[in-house]
Amino acid sequence: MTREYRGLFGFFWRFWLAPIRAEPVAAFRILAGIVAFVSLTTSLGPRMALDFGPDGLTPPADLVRQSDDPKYTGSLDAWLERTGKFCVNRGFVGVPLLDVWLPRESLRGWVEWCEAGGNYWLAWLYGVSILFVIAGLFTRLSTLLALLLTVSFQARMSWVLNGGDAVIRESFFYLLLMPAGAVWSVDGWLRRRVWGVKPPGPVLIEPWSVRLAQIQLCSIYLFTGLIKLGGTYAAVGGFCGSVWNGQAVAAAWETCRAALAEEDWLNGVAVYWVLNDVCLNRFPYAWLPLPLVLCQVLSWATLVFEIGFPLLVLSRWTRPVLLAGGAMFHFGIWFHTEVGFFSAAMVAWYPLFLSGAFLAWVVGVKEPPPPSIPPAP
Amino acid sequence: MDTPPTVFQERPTPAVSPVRRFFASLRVVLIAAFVCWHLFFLLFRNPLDLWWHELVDDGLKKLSWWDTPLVTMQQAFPNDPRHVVVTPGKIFSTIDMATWRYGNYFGIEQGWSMFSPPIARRGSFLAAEVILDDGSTEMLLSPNEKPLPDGFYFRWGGWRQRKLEDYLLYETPESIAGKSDPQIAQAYVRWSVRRWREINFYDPRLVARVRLVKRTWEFPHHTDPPNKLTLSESTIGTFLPDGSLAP
Repeated sequence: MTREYRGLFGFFWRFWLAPIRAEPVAAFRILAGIVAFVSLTTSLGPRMALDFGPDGLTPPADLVRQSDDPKYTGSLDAWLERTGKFCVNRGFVGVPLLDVWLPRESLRGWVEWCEAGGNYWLAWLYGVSILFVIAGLFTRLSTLLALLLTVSFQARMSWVLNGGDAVIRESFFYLLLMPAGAVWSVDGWLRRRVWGVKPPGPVLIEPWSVRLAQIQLCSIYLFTGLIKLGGTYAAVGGFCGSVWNGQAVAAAWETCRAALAEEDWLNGVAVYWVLNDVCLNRFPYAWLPLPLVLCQVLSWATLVFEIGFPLLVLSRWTRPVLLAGGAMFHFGIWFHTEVGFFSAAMVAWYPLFLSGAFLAWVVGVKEPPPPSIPPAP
Repeated sequence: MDTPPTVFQERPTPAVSPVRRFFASLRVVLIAAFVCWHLFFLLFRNPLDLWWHELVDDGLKKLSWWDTPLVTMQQAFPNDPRHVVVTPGKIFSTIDMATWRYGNYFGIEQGWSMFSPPIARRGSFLAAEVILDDGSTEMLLSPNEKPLPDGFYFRWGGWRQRKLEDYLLYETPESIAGKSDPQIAQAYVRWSVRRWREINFYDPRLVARVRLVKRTWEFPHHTDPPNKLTLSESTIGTFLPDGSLAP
């Protein structure tokens, strides 16, 4: 791990193998946990009374075509089985070992208990597990439980989810891979105070899980940006094909340009239409109409930000501006559109791109002195 | 005077038992394998989930060698009675299924797309038209439908209800009967009946039928006044108060 390589290979080596400080992971754990907890207590939880139960809005079993198989009755369970999802609330569908070992009759009892009110107890357990994640107490175990219950509840309530819920799910998955309780946690405090484990300097961790999470966030932005280009690929492909087949470049380009002019994000009207969406916007567009030019600038800036994120975040010079811009971008989305916890869930990942020293400075943690170099003999 | 270079004396490495070394190596191999698999998953799943039609239906499946047998079980194992044929298409399907299942199981589905084009020029709300036994009707609007086109509103929450209602919006009287999970529409109808009864607690009339309605607002073009929204309605389905489809 201490070997020094230069060039691209050196970058690759350091990226995947050089130990990094644990503070970014801790900040990610705390922020993602808070977002998940607020989502559960203010949004998902209050809906349970509306959605669950015999008169709920999302009954799990098909009311018309009852099946004889208690495990896969109705459409929700069939969907769970088809997609390979797991759901504790529906009789441990897909949960390793339990799915096979538990007899059907006890599963039927469990499902009935859940639908009759047991889901509320599971929701309490879910909330407590998230609080444990935030506090960093039994971090790995509580993260596993939080992931299990997040996926389960979201599978059970799959009709009422949006992208923010997906980001929360992903957060717990990546937290499970990380040594998330290394610092700023009860686990870390116990290690220092009770077991006397005191590293000589800042706590360092293996970077691979953080790198995977960083790549995940980059891919979210990149592909969200690329899909916004829509018919651009077809238009450019058509241009190349026409030129290849001997058509004059000017004529082919004119056709291509006409096609590109139809693309919402390229011609810049996308943000205008989003702001006008009466299903999403917080307040009527007529009350705060933005000039079309500003909408165009915002549309193009969105494209540059999303597609450029994976590259721009690599440089230490562009990273602070990029992350600050990203936070403003998500605040703008949150301010003008009601998209739930999407913005907060995305920004919770940003500390993974910040340095541990900076985060320690932000929260005012005193830096331990660097390990002393032994004198030469 | 030149400073002599600092010399660090290497400490003797403590002896590590072979078993411990084996498990340490195994851990490294497993982590490396997992990282490679997960990176492959991200790289493979995202484009496929977003451009399946373009990449697979219009691309890969039209390649001449896509269904050409690479190897048959009989070639590899002449005595094997099974007649399994391995083609690039089958290998792709296996990888596709493995990555899809992996993403679904751990809740890390990919295919990220927010505000993908074409951006909506209209927005729809679900409403329930309650038809009473005296023939009169009342429209129960979605809690998310604000006073349009001229009123002021401030929307806070309600997006989960919107997602649920979006699920039913794109049905027609023909499709709703064949829907694989009609219980959602039925539950929504019963909920609408309860909502009407809560509002009209002392009303002696009874609900005879409920018509689910899609109310669509066209957004104004940027050359139009910003409050120039136009409304249109279409029927999703007509139900009895218990939620079953009306004959």
